[in-house]
Amino acid sequence: MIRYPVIRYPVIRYPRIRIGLSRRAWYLGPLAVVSVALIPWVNAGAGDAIPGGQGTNTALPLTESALTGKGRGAFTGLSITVNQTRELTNQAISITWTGGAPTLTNPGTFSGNFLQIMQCWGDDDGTVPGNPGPPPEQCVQGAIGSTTPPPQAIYPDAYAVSRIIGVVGSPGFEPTAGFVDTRSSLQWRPFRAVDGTVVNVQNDPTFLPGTTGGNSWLNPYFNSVTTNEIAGAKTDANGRGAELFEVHTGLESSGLGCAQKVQATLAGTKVPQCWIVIVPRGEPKVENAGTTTGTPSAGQPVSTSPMRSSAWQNRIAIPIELVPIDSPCSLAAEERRLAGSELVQAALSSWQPALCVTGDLPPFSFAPVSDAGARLQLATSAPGGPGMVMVSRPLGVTEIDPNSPVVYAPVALTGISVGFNVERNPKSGNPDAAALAGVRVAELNLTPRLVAKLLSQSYRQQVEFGGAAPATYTWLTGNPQSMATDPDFLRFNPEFELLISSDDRTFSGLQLPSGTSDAAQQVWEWVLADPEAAAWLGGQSDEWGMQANPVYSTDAQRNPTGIAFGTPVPQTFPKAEPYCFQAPGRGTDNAIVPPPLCGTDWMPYSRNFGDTAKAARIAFDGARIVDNPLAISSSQVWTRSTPQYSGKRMMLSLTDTPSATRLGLQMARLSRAGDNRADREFIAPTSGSLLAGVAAMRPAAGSPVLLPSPTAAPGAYPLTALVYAAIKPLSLDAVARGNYAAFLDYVAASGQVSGPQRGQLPAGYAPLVGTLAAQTVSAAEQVRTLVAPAAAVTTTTTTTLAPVVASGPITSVVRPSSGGVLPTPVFTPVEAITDVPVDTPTTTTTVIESAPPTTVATSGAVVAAAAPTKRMGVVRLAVPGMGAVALGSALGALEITKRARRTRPGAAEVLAASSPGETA
Amino acid sequence: MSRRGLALAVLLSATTLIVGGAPPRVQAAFSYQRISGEGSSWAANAIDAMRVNVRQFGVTVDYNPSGSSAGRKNFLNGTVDFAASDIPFQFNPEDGSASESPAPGSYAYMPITAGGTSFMYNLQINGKRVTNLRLSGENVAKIFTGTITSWSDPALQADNPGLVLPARAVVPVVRSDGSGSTAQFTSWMIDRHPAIWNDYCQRSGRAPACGFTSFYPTVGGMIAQSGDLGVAAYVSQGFAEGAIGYVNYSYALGTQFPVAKVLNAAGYYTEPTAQNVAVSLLKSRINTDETNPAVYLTQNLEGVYTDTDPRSYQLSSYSYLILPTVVGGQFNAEKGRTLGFFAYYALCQAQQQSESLGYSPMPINLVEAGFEQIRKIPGVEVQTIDIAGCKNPTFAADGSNTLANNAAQPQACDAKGPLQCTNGTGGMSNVPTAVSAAATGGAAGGAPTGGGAAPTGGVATGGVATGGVATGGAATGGVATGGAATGGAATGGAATGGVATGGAAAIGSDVVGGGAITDPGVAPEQICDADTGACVSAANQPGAASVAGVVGAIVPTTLDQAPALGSSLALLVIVALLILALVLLPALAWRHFAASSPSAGTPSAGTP
Repeated sequence: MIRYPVIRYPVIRYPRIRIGLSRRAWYLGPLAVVSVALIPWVNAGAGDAIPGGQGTNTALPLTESALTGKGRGAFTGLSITVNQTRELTNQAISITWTGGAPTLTNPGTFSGNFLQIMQCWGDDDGTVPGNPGPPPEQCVQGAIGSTTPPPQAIYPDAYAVSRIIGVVGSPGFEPTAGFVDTRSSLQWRPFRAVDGTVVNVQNDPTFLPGTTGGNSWLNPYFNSVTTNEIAGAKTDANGRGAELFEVHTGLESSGLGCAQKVQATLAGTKVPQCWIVIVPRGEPKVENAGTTTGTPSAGQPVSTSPMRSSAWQNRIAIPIELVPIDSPCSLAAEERRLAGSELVQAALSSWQPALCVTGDLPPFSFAPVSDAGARLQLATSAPGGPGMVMVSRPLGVTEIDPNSPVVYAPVALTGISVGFNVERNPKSGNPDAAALAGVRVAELNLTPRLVAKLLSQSYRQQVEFGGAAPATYTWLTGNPQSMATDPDFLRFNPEFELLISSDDRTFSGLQLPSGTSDAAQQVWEWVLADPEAAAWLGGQSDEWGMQANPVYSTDAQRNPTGIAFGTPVPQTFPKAEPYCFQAPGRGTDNAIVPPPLCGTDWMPYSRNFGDTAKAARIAFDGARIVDNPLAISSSQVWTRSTPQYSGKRMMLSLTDTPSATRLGLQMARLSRAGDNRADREFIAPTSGSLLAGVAAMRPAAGSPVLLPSPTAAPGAYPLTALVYAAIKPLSLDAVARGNYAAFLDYVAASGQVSGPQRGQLPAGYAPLVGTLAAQTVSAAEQVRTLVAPAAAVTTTTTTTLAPVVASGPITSVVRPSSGGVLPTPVFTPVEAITDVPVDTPTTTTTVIESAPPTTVATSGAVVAAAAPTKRMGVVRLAVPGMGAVALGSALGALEITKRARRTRPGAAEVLAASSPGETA
Repeated sequence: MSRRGLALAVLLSATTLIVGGAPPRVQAAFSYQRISGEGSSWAANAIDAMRVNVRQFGVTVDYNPSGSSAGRKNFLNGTVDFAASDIPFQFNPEDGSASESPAPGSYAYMPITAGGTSFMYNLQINGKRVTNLRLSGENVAKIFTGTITSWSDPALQADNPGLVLPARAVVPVVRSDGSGSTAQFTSWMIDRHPAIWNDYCQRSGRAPACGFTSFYPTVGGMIAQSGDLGVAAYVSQGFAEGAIGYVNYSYALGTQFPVAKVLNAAGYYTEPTAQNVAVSLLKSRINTDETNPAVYLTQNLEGVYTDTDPRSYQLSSYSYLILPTVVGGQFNAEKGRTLGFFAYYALCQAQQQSESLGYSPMPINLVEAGFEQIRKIPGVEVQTIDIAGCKNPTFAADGSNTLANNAAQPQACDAKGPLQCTNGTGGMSNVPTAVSAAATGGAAGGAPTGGGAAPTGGVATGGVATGGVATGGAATGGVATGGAATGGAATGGAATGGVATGGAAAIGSDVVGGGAITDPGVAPEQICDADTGACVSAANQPGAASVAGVVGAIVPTTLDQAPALGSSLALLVIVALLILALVLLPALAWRHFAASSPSAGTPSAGTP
């Protein structure tokens, strides 16, 4: 089942066992439901805005293995729930809590009352009798503060995110607690890897950047890039908080080795227990008491490491179980190459290892290239090109060689989505809204016109980046700064009436991928098919006077370029606004001329959908837009912006549902093109809405490929995307055909079982059902058996043997011997998966008070792998191989003589012979 | 490392976790430790594909394409395990930036991919995108130093006799971040057009530090963007008509934009297709001083700039991984094992993808030298790789570069002179641009190329010339392909086809259009070689057609004759071929005679 972040109304926000609701919850719940019900009919004014109306629950759904841990001592009220603790792999889990003290913040920084979350390995060290857990040495923590320059001040004090637990000779120094680096007098909490290696000192005090042979960070097991620690998690004003945590297997964190390595024991070895550990931090004066790391003073933040015993004693440990990872594939000389749409990337990454361990197949490699580029590579059968491409649209009729037909097979059903990471920044004056400060928004409702506004650089912030737009841009004067103040947006997202925009720049446009794609075309088709959006792009103001940027006008008369935008439908997301800001020169005689600041600087492109999602997740797009007054050359003037502060994040990105899901973004609900009713329907991307979306698709002319239907159908996600494998079997040799066919067999069956394990269909995809899967199976068969169209068969040339071997009749003889035994297609029709429940999660959670359960997970995730086959050695190949060759030769000889007898080709035909079966 | 050995020796007992009733799985205790790298955006599309594909082998690699300068810096700072850079460490930078000084013996260079720095442009004539623009090197230099400011400049017009270039401002787009491709590009300018560069260096306020630089100095009217991605993104915007920027060829493919064909020393305008880059880099001199790691395997590209092969592209180059050779800081032997695996994959399997992505696979000598460099990584699991098994498209049995050997000759209309080809380039290889009648060589009847017929783009070899280039030796291929290549039909009548068909060298009687043809459409100073089909300008003719050259000072190692497969397989293959031949030959012979006999064509009964 696909686990999308669930659209859930705020009735049940932090599900847990609890008797009685708080006064606020009681009050909010029914009202929120009413507000959702009312949205469609009401042009909500400020008075209709309701705190929490956009949803507050951004956590992943609870599972049967959810566990809750309780705080102790000063943190007695704290109750922390992990939504899933068994059958984990490298994936995101939700950590939510209640009963915490609201985090103390200076603007941007946490000074106290926050949580620190990390992953650990090992046995209970006995320090906390009521809550078994690992020693601090065995936790991945302390890398965040190691970067140079240090990360922006969104994290607490540097010591607070380090493993430095004391300074020699200072108050609070405990000589036996850790390892003292005599060079720096700093005392470290060592890191002990699962293989026993100990790293004592994490940072080299003698390191000077740029000098010979230095390394600042000394821990090989994790660093600021690879760590999964959460250095500071914020508790809201209502005492609650939520974070996504990326679980690492041994592949991502070999120091922990979870599900991947063993630890030495007296009796031999054993699989290490792995843990999520949460260290709650309190008031600075308590946390810093008796230490020197940070002289306690007014305004001083928490400045001690969570690894100090005084902090560690409060830690809450929650045991997790990971699933062992299949042995990796081994390298093989010959790979089968795939190229094309990024939309299949996540699924392919899951399938690749399963393919090579189950099917006796060579590894499959994937080159992400544009759909159009992939089609061209397939069309030209270029020698360096891939055997199979992944595209969402068919090849043009003129691109297809009638002698070498293209076979299409559906492989992945997914969606294009607007992923967002938006945290509430309330206006003053409403205590209920203030209570939700910093809480992530769970729901956005977007129409094609709103997306058109975001894509067309039409909000003021997208043009006024130099301070003001050119005076001639009169169209801009009535436009809002960003979507946050657009009445068109507020009517469908009323809670924003209560919120201040934390960053108009990133809320007036989308993080966009560069390059061309079928996905981009699909987004524009959806926008242009909507009457409201089309009229607006054509030049009509919306009901509130907002006008489209004329460079995106679909009216050639209006468009300053003289060309109507949208014809043909773009395959890219252009940043067509030509205005660039020229900052004044500086330095002696103004010799330093800053490079112009343009739209592509203001909102830089990401490489692909995966990176747009990442930019939103880390709230950082790397825009070089900050003026450096100390620049001594033009290339130093514009420096990178900084990540948005925790609690002030405001990012929107255009991405795909697998990337958004993987990175824990919320996804906007979209309305269908043509649904311009006041009570229009907003549809979230779920497996159910994707299946409805594909049901609404219609085949392209002269091709089996289904094309998106922007107007879709009720309940259908408007940006449902279906990706096809396209292949020209006749341009490949028999072995390659067998391999690609086996690939499709896998994709149609085991590859459509949803789940996080290797070989399964990752979250963000809906399984192909019924006819689509059947189509893939039959395509696989065609790939195996297709023979050249009768009319197009050319006789073989007399000058070379090569084409003879590969010509039609012999192919079927050669295949079994040279391709090995192909896995039997195991086709189990996957039933339509119903939507993830959108209402009450009834799962109860186990509360750990004493011993943690360490029972074995035996849940029902069934991996239906294709039947494994044994690898045939060269010798075992010899006899059947020789036989086949002999048989093939004989048949070939027969065929040759037969054909020659039947038709006597003219000389020209002989010369023009290009056997369709020839290996490309 | 004894602990590692211990860990290696044990296997997980698979008792704890069972999924869905499947049989217990035994888990190898060994895994690859995750590694991270940073650097070149020029090579990023290639490295990213490698990164994604090694994941299936249980190898996790992070890569941040923040530019070569940032990559080298963070490698020195020890915050990444490896760097990717288009240029070596800058011990004595010539542009006034801080010097880089890695510890001696702490690193090694390993070439990872080859490619071309292309000039992606955005230009329209009468509302139609130009896809066949040509530029001389001097004009490129003048464009990027603000000397040529209008597309209708007579100098540009002279390069493009078939086009009427618009009076539109030229907008040069350069890199704003520290970039290896900027360094490559400025090195080329300094070598080839020093006066133009020095003048610009003065004007831009950079002087006296006028050596090659990773940080492009800008003047008014120039646009600077971050990364290849930023440059390509800017140039591809609708408003950016008139813009031209330097990016790796793969970015032009990704944005579906054309690239300028640049005039080479042989007098041909070429683009950096995989084949052309392969040809060009035969002339790069690779430093073979293995005793000096600071320079070993680094490239000297001066020979590429002046290469007189008609197919060569001046701005072809290699990009490198910088590998650590000592354990220290956060780099340990286990990471070395991962990095070694990744590097082997990059050199062997991943090279198959190069063309598809817009790069060029590396030749055998550099792959082999790279294997030797990998051995220097601490902790590496040295692999005995049968290099022939790498399926690298450049490898030939004789150690020469197949890709270069088979590279298509440029069409005659690509020669400097009054003709101009209509073929599209780069990401628009399938979209031709019409040229004036005079520039088609007057053969008005010739069907224009394009529509995919004979694209010269990175993804397709020019169908036109495949035959001709089967130079010497491999004469057999000449018949079939040469014949097919009669596609002289492709471009303006006589202009190309005949020239490219090197039929004379082919065996057999079925030769089409053999003999040396001096095409009437070719400019007078062109001479076409009967053996190779190569057309070269008279001045540069001697030796120009030698394609089986040796890269730099490295002597190609003889090919390992498949020891891994063993002699048994070889025997089997031979036996199979014999069976095949024995059975088929009589049939073929029969057929041949039957076919040549006038009475043999009688249809037999039951013919469909």
